[in-house]
Amino acid sequence: MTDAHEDGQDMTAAEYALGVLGADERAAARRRMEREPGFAAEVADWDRRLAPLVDEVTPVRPPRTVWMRIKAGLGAPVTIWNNLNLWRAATGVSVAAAAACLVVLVTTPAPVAPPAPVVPEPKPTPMAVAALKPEAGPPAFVVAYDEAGKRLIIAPAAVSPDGVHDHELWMLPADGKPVSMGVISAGQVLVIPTERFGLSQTGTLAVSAEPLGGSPTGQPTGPVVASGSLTPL
Amino acid sequence: MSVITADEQRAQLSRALLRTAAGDRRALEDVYNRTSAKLFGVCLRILNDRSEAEDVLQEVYLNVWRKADQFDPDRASPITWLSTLARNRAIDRLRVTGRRDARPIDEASQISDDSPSAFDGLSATQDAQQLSHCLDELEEKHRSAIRTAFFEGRTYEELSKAAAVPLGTMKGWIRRSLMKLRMCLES
Repeated sequence: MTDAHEDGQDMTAAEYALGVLGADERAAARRRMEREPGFAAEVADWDRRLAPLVDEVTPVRPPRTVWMRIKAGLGAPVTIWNNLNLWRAATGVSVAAAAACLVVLVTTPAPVAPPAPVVPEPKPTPMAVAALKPEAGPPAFVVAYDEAGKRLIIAPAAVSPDGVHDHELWMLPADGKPVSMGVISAGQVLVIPTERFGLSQTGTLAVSAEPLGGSPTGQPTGPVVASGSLTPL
Repeated sequence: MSVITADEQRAQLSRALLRTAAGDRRALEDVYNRTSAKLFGVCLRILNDRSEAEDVLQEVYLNVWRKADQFDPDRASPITWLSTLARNRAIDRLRVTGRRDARPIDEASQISDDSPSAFDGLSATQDAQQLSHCLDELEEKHRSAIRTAFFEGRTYEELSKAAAVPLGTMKGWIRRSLMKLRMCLES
């Protein structure tokens, strides 16, 4: 019995479609598909014959971050207006208001009596904001990115600590794996220096639930609890 | 399910793919919403690793975005086109990384998805029923090898080890089964 032919029949097209070939044989089959239209048609016939089997595969909803990474990889920029309108529709909060809240959060000194009713003027530096939302419901975290000051501030909005998990913030590059930006312990506001991340003003961010102290592997191990994209102000 | 028939679901998916080919991002999102749960299931089953499956799923839809113009509704069903793309990507990744058997998939984060999808009603189609009938005609251990190969993307070597038969025997099983399947499906 020879490998490629049995009973005079070349079954490579079927074997490629079924998925039993090794890496080199698969690469060879693909080269053949490019050169030989007849072979390519044979593979397509087998794909069509076998495809109904996927009916038996249980569908599993992918985390929303996958779609966000896809969107980030599409290339051409989405206009700011699209982003702003989406953001407003989704959160019911104006972007400026959220940013102002954060600026207040991080610039207000420790309370003194009587508390000064003065709201500091937002600095006219390049800023971007994001509302990180779960699959459904209101934003769980609010993020402000101060590009000039090279820092990102993340504040919990609607998350309650469960005592056994920390939250970890991830930057999602257009291609490649998520990059950890920091671990957010129970309810605290985190200020993250951003020099080393190469974050853009339209970057995509996600927060996952991780064991206390953060992911042991350097990649998200727990479910994504919130995600969103930065919008330049 | 809604009043939308399975045929109409797939016709809508074909149209969404054609609009994606024209560069319509919303159409791609539409394609994603109709198909990503099934294709994620396909990738997970092959790779047995959530993070790898997410990476591959991302690649699949970026491929759909770039190659949607290669989809020809007269030649392939959108279901076949998309599942084939996902399976091939996942199998190629598997050949590079190897199968992750040691790490169980986090069950808490593995939510099966029952929402309507373009794959609904697939088992009721004539093609599916004929395939099911023809698979039933095979010997049990041959059918099992074909199914494992399809769902898990295993190589001949892996299949022969798992079934504890020589490599040549496994190749014979699979090739004869494929030939029988073709004859049965074409009769």
